[in-house]
Amino acid sequence: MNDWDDRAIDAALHELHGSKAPDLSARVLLALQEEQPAPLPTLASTPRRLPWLRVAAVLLVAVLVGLGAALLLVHRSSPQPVVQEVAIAIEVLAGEVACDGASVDVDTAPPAKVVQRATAGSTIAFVAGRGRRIWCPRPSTFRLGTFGVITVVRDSELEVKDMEISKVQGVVMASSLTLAVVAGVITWQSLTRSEAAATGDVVTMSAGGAPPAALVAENAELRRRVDELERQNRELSLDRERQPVSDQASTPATTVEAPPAPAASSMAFSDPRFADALAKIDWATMGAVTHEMTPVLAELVEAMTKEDAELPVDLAIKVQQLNSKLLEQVPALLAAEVPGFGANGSYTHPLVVANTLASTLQAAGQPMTSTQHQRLAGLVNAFSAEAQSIADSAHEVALDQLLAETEMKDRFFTEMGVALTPEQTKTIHPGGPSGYDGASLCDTGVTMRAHMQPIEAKNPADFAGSVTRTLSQELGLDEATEQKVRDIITRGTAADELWRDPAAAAELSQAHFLRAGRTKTALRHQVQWMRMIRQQVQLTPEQLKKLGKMSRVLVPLPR
Amino acid sequence: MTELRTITADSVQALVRAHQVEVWRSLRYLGASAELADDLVQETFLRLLRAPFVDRSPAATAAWLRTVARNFYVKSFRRPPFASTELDKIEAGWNGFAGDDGGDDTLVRLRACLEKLDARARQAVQLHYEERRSRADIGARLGLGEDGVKSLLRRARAALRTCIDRGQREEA
Repeated sequence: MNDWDDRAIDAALHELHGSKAPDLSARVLLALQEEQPAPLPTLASTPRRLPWLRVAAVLLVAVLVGLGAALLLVHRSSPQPVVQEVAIAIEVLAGEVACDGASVDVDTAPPAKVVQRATAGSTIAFVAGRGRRIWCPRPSTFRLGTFGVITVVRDSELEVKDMEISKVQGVVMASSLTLAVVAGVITWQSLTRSEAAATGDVVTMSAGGAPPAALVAENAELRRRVDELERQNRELSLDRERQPVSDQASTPATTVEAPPAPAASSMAFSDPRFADALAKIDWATMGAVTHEMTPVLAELVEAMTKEDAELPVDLAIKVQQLNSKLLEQVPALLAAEVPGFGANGSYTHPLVVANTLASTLQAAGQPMTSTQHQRLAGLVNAFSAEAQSIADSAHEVALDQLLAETEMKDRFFTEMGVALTPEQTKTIHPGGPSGYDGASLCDTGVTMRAHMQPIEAKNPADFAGSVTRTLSQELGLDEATEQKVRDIITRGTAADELWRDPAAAAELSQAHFLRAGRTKTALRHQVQWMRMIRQQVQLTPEQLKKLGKMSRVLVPLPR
Repeated sequence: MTELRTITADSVQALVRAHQVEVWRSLRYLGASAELADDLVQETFLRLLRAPFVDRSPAATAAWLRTVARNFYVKSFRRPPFASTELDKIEAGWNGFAGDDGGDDTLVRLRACLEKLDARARQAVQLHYEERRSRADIGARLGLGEDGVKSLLRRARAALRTCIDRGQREEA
């Protein structure tokens, strides 16, 4: 057998064990539809002249996670090409965005740094390099290359701290971006993930698909939250010490006052602690968008459940567009500090859900009756208290909070469903329960989806191998420690409930719509095996800290 | 080849779906990573769709796509990953593997042949390809050095190749 025969079998074995050809037809179609009539720029391998910058005339605007294209600019300072900057398309969806750009005069050295500005409906090229900035004088939403959609509050400013660059046949592309939030609050949303960050935080974005490692951003976001919770804990402890026992017993944890009648465009349910900030949310838009998006989302998921289904590009784009409108409201949620695990945790807080539900039903012409309103107000009151309690508790690992929140919200959504009429239920869940996380905006799948990372695996050992490699890279484990971690994960994921349902078509699709309950089950086991690792494996304080702050749920997808 | 200058989404998707697996597989055979193969397949189809319309048979289209993909792959290196004199050998290796169906049948045979490997070789294949363990890790489990693991895997692949060839001959 010669070397090429050997290679053929090697490639075939890889394919047989999971490395399969994806369906690239939608990706090709999108690239074809969106590219400009100009050649793709390439790096010459041995340039005689050394232009500082080469700006692509082509801007392939990303439309969908994993399906779009971003482009590009090359920066060289020596005969060996050293890529330091890459141009990324910014498509402004709402508001106004300004960024560091560069002259398109490619052979001037060094290039003049120029500022580019764009308003809704236009696209500009952001020259991404360390220290380069994007800023928004007013609330804005924009699509950043293939990295996803970013929504910011007024006067937000982002700075590139780091980036990874990959090169394909001379075409240079940014594969990950680490942005520091210099001012303001941002949320970042792709079809499969979302992150939120405030001033001083750092967020790491990956181009296309699910990011391999967004731990830095997650750490930063969680660090901020932990600090805030510790502060709240201290204050609450002091309050309790000051308060007479009888007062403590009679004071509800949360006071939620229902207005006499729900209004179409204002909050139907309120809470004094968040009232001012939540009043800034455009609930009428939340309702209208949710009403419009719900059936589209259901249709998208339904389409993906079919064997060999392709991502329906039109539906996916529609979902992204509508989702962008919802995301415009998220900064206000974050500013209100509504408790929740990440941005989607705040979005699924009972108070927010109840208000969104009221405005959605209003938009659908099925407003709540005063009896329903009263009943919902009672539920919101009780579950908000529970949400606050969960947020205030200490958690050995951050995912503990997500698990507790999910279990609480599952109960809340069930109780809420009982209060609705069949017609209203149909508006919220058109076509009934889909059985997939993310198919409805009114269940905990929304939060689960933001944190899940599916991993195809044949058995617990296979899964443990993949997870351990990732953990090893992120935590810096030595070989002996790696083996111990692998063994714990193998044992910790051996439960039949994780492996009895083979991965469905929708789960293996580009959009990764996982079966309802799969992520939650994986989360429950992950919390356990993470605790076991902390207890049984000798880790450094830094490694323990990183592990504890991990916010991804690693979900086995049985092959 | 489908008339693509009318560029309907359906015709583009049909064309890509008809040929993408074979093109992707051929790139993996040359040594491209899965991610690089994805990107190069996309570029290859874009090249075809941008080019002036030429009426080709499906087989000629497939051959054209594989050649363009191979050229893209070679261009992604500073130095060619293989000598041009090797091209005949590469093509022969690919044809032997892919047959008339782009390699689908070979994969089916490979799966069956895996069951026939001796236990030790099968374990090595499983640890390397399925669990993606390092040679050192596999060696520790099998009591071999890294070179020993490398040899064991190569022998396993040779055995698999022989088994596939035998199956094809017997069927013929």
